[in-house]
Amino acid sequence: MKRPRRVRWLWLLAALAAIVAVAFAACDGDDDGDGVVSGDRIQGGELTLATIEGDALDPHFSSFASDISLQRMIWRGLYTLDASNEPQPSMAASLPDISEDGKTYTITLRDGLQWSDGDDLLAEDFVMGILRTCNPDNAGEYQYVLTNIAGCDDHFGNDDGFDEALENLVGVQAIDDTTIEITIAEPQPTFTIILSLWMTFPAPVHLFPNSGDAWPDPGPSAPGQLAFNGPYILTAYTPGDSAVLEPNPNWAAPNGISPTLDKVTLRFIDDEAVSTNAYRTGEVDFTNVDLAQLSAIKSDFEPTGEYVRVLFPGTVGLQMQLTHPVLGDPDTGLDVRLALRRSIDEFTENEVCFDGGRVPTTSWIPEVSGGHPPDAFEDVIGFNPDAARAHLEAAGFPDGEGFPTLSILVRDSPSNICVAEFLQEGFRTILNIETTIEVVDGPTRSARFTAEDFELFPGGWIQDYPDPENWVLGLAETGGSLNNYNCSDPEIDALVEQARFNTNNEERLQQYKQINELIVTRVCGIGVGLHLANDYLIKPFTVGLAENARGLDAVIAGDWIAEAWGVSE
Amino acid sequence: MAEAEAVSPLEALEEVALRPERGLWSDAFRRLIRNRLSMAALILLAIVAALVVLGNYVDVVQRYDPRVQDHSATQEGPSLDHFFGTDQLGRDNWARVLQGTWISLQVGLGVQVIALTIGLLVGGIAALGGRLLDNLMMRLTDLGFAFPDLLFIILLRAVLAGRDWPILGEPVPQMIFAIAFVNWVIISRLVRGQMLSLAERDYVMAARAMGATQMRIVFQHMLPNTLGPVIVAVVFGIPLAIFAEAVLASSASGCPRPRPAWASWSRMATASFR
Amino acid sequence: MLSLFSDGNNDKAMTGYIIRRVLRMIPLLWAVATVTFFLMHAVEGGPFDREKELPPNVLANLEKKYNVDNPLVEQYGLYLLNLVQGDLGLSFETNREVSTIIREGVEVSAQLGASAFLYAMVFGMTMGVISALNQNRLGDYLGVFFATIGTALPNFIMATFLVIIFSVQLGWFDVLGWELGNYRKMVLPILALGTLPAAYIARVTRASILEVLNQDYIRTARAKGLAERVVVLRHTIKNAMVPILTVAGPIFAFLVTGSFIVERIFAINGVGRHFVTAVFQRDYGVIMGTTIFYAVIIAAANLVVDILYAVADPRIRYR
Repeated sequence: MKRPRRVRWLWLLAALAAIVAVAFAACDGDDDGDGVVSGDRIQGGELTLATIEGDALDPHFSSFASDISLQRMIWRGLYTLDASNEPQPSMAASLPDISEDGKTYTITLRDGLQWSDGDDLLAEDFVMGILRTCNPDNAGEYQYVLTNIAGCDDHFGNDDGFDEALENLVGVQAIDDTTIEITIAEPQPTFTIILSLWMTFPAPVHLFPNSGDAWPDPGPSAPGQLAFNGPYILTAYTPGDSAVLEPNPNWAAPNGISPTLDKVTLRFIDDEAVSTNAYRTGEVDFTNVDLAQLSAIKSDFEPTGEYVRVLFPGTVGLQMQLTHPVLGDPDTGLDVRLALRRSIDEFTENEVCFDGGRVPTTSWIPEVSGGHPPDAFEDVIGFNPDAARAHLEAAGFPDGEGFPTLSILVRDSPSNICVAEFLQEGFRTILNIETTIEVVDGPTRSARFTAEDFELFPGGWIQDYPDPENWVLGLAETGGSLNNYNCSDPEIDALVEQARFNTNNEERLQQYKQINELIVTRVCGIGVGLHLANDYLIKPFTVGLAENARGLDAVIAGDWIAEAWGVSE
Repeated sequence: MAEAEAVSPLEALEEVALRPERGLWSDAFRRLIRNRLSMAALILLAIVAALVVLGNYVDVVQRYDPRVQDHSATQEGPSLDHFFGTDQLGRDNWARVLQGTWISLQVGLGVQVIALTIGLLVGGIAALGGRLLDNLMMRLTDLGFAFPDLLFIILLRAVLAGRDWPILGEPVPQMIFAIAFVNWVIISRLVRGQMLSLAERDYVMAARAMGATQMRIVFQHMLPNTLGPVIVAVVFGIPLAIFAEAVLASSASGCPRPRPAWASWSRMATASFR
Repeated sequence: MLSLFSDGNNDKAMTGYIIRRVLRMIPLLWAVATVTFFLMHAVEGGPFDREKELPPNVLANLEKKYNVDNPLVEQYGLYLLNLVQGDLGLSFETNREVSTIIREGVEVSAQLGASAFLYAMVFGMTMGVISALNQNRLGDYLGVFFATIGTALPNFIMATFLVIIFSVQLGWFDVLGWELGNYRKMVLPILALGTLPAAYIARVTRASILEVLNQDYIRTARAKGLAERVVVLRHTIKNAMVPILTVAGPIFAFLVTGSFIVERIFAINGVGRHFVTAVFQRDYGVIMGTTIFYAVIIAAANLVVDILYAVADPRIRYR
């Protein structure tokens, strides 16, 4: 019996040794790239880009960033935003003629525009795009952006759905084949920007003559049922797998740039850890970074220049329910909120939970979108344990005594949970108050937010279009549709009223800046903490991704000008 | 055999099921201590159990408060200070693993206790309660078997979450209940099949012939002899339940923070491993 | 054994049995649909709860579009009515036919599942046989070691390790996707999915063969001087098949209905992911569709196993 037993142990040891060896071999990986190849663009080539699948191909319905990203590759609006967020003519020949009262926009199309299938792209197609967004049966999720177009809200809000009479009242019409006239209810300085957004993209009337006609679902048959006017056409769509794009032969190239690639494949991958692995093996040429591995990725890919970070116009922080008796108390609530905010060390939070992947801030509206620089209100709301304790005492809770146990509601993801645990620890050690953490899934969190059923809620806002009003309207005024934390401040309300339709742009922007200061310093529903950033891995042989990566990206670097993508070898 | 489907299903047939049944616990115990591999396993289990219990209640073993964050020492490798290193927030992984093991064990064992209870009841009633009850119970297990596990656990967990119910309002019991709900089926089928075949055994017939009460036959003769394969199924169910919790934690809503279960820990670990 | 089917009496009994079993699926499916329907609606949050809240009129329009503005019982009735006509409805997320979504996913999942099943059966049974024939010797310990590792390593850990070692580090296989006939895209998903069942089958095989080896007829076969090879192949393995078959059925059903984890880690476009993402998206249509689909497959697999079981063991009769 003795002999075989020894052999057995030997075998086990050998097996274990083998496993350990393999595991260690796996640990000391080196994926040295070949350094940045900054060669010139060549004609042809293919790119495979990892992205998350959206849920619709319909620009007049979509709200997902990945939908919008794809839609900007295959359709284009009257205008398009340039690198400095300014609207430039795209399908339109020039900037709009605006009537003296600021309410009528007359837009002339470029000559000779064509859909990808060869049909003429006419004024009526752009009219149809807007009518589709205003059609209640389509339930477009971004109709709210067109709220100022005359009659759009009336049609969209109609209880009985589509109504031809109401549709006819929507203030958009084709004067002739190349002229569009849009009537808006109030003069709106940002309206040209809106004419660059996906919900105003054209719809091919020759394929969908009525605004209620069913748009193809994201499936294999969709490419054949659609026509495109963007730089690329969709040639294949496999749900859950990929979308394939090829250059649009009828692309008008309004900016003088035409696609050089033969093919772009969007590979749908749900999990950024997976796409990051696929990037390492070269199966994809671009991916968003798995933040859990950020430090490893930085050390591997920062030297090669493949790791790219761009600031993203989004702000997160700790949202607080102001209907809560303690958080929203008219006399002491502000002190409580300041105490909570000032016990959050956003710099350390950024380091431990995001590997330094975000930007600590004290401004709600990012500076690029018309707000203040990140450190503007550091001495009012910035991390300061002594000040935090003093505020709590001023609110009547010396050393946290008698403070209620608040709940922190987070969506289940490693970084969100890290944030919640970080906050909890800060409150406990600095303010001596206990909090509980509720971890729920996405829809539950959203439902609870909508129902205003939360106390503390790490969350924020991602900009839809680059103007400060997008950070205020609906979010900060009393009763605003997205104001679920119930910020209600007479001064803010008064300023919103003044700024909203102010045609004096200079003054308007100044008013939004003032609003930003009020939101921040009064902790009006949100204790501002971090601006967002996108972290990409981009292969060095690509052209036009890293160079064009900026806050305008939806999901993929430079997807706001996808026609500039190419390869250098 | 009544019907072909009476034969025990997945997770069921293990060596014990195939071995001739033996009666006495003492016999089982004697065999256990004679088997060196089993004894080694038993000792290992005892050490783990002791560590876990001590680790959650004795500071010397636990060494660090698993809650306390040290932001100047995040994601450190193993050292004499921190046996398993520290996590993202600078908490001691040794303390957290001990704590997580405790939760995982609670889930694993809790699930099997509930599953065993329901399984024994349903399986026993089916085997002994006559044709009608048998049919009813077996349709019930068919139903339990027909749900996709993962979807159903997540769904149940989501239904239970956020309700102010006693006991079930707590995350760990919620998890246990949700996972147990899809796990009892195997045991009930096993129990039924086993009991049906036992009813035909000589010694049961003999007992019946000698006038033993139904109660006595069931509890004295049949139940103990049913247990062999059931124990195997239960033991195999424990890691499966822990895996299920792991999957939940890596995809859905797992245990309450900041208490870690194995699962969330392994998720972080695989993320930072490369 | 196939003589069973030529026995006219049992043949008829068998047909009747199959018909009865298929009919019994109807109340089962009804119960599955009902339980899932009401549980799913009891979950907090709905299909249109988004990170950015939808304006109330958009929400109302969407609810109208997907028929969720009616009372729950009415929706339930409507769903059953459609279900009876074979209509699984639309996905709330993508507006596509649920039956199409499932069909597209099943093709890939079934290929992967069947391959993993083949691996699990062949490798598991081989390990089991080696173990049993070398009881308490090296081969046995190897087999048991494999079976233990296989059951102790959760597949999400194993899949991650496989990818990191064999794709990222060694570059032998691809990270993404599944393609029948392309070994670079087949090996790792099969290993990740099939190893646990393989380990399980190895255990069952080992136990079952050990049991058979102790039977009188094996002793007889040996006593009458048959070659060991013949004893093992002709008498032992064949007779040990019954319990293996029993576990193989559910394992097969389990494998071909897709795995959320393996499909996610390899970015495989199968049906498995829908079982999980549908719940998180509150995609009522897909939750119902996938559950019903799963129930049908499981019930069918059980039926097939029960029939095969009788083929392998003529003592079992149907009534």
